[in-house]
Amino acid sequence: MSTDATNGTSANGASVNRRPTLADVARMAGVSAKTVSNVMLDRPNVSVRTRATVWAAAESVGYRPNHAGRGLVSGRTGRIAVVVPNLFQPYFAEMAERLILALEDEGLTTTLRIAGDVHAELAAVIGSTTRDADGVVICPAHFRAAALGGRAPDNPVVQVGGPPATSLDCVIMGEHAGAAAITRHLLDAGRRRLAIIWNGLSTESGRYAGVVDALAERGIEPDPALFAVGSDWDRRESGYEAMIGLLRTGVEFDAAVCANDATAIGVMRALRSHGRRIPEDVAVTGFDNTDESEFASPPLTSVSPEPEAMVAAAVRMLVERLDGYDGPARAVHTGAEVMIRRSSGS
Amino acid sequence: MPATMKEVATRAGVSLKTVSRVVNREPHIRPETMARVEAAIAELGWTPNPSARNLRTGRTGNVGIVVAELRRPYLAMLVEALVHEAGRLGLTATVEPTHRRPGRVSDVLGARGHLYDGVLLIDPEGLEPDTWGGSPQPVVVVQGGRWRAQVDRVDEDVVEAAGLVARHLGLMARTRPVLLGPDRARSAVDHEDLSAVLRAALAAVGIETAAVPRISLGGVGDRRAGARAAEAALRVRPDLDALLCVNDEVATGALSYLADQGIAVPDDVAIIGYDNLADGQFTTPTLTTVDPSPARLARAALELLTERLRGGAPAGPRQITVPVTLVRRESTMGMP
Repeated sequence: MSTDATNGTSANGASVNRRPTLADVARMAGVSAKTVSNVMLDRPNVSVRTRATVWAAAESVGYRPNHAGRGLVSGRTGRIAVVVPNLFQPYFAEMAERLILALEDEGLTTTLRIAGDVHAELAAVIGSTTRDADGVVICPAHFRAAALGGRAPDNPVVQVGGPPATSLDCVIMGEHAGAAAITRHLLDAGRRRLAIIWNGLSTESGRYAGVVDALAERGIEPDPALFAVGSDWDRRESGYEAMIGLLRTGVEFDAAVCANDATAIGVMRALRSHGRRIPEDVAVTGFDNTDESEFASPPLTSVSPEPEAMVAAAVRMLVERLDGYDGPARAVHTGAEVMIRRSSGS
Repeated sequence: MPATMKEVATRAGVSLKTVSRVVNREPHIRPETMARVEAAIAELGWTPNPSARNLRTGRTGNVGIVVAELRRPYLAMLVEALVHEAGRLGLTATVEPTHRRPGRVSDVLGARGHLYDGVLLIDPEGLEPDTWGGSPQPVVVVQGGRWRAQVDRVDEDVVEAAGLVARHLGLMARTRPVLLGPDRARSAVDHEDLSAVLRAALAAVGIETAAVPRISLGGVGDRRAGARAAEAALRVRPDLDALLCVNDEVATGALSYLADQGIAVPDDVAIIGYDNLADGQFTTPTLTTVDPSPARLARAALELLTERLRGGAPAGPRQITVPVTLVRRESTMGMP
């Protein structure tokens, strides 16, 4: 347990605002340090009463579990869990790959977990399925930090992308700026009737707000008749389905702003199979700048969310936590770059 | 010690029956109750699968999946199928990308017993380990290509694939194909660029195999490589009438290059991919491709692995060959 005690001590050994240790909690609660440890690690076979006594003692002495120290105590090995919702979306496969490489540059080994639903995401963040790791980096799909309900994860957690989290370190993608910029690009090119092809889930996202705000700058109200979604999200089929539906309504439009590249690829196919020329009749844009966008016919205008910067910020924050930084949760905003290609008429 | 259903019920403050109803998604459960039970399940890391219990007794319940990298969409798709199949059996899965670093495969194999109950190895191109270690924990090689490894393996039927592709070329009256990238049917016994299997299949439809060039991709088989290889193919054989691509990424890159050059697909050049990525349904023209059925490969791989874990498998290595299908689309047949 000695690793805890060194934490509040300066290089010359003098005590500087000595941080409460596990031993302090044990004394206060009148139990062994081992029991405190069992409670902190949420191990079984501790009575409810003892748990309550220990937590109360921890609160009264101001003890917070030391993540890095805990790793040493339990013999962990610098292994970080990278958590993504799936790999079929190129964005998540790319982020997973970049995170793994960047963490390894820091001398950390990694383990990749696919958390296919919100429960799996929550379990990975809390630590129940990532006990073999010292920290977690999650690219969430459905997870919201609010779902933690005040519970502290076992290990340092950094969230990359997704809605801003106030209780976790997070990297916030330049969704608003990127979506606004690509919308302005279409308006600047003279497009006026912009269809919005979205993934029904996330009209509250910064990405959607970016489109709406850029339209508002030019005094354009979003036309509900130009908004279309597919029956699920983030698949090429969804974009295809949404565009077929829109074409059947007979509404006129000269551009399609799509929630992401996968949706845009489906949209382009639907337009071409209905005799619409891209970009002459309809300009199309995506988001994510996947490999597929560059080699689509015609190549797809998209937004690069600057994955290098997102990954660098996430790894930096995680490493700081592992090194003992114990301050409040931080948020790093990253930028976005519009990649103009032929699908938008350039 | 794995959590029990009773612990979940206690933590959530509900009956065992209620936990069971939530897990089985039965109707008429109040959302608050469902949220409480699901939170308890997540906190305790409980796996609601009775067959998992048996498998997990005394084990980590975790399978390692070794893969070269994740930015190749087919590899991502196969990994996802393996993770899904492991989950269905109540096993968790840890993905270990090697990024072609030597030693990485041996590291993972060496972690059998403490981190992993077993390891699934997806052909990590050229990183075949010298030794498979003495560990009793199982290893299953998935799509091992030219590997000679004497362990359990699962492959798609490359002989069937070569036959289907050749017959389709014949039916579409194509006689001057060029290969972009390696021949998927090439095995450890083949020393030529073209496998004996593909030669035989092409010869059977009257294609002169000695005249079939193969373009090397010079590295990763991605879209960029496909575009470059298509350009090279046209230089090597200007009268080519079909491109047989090692995968759909290469095929998509080739398609994009030909579109740029104003070369009509399939009127001038037919394109056949391999892997059946979702992308190929949405290109113009849509892409004819071979579906190696990652879901079936994954099921077979986990069957071999779990049989070994249960101790019910014979001592010697086993091989399962999974049938393939040819997905015929516009890049060879044109618009309907």
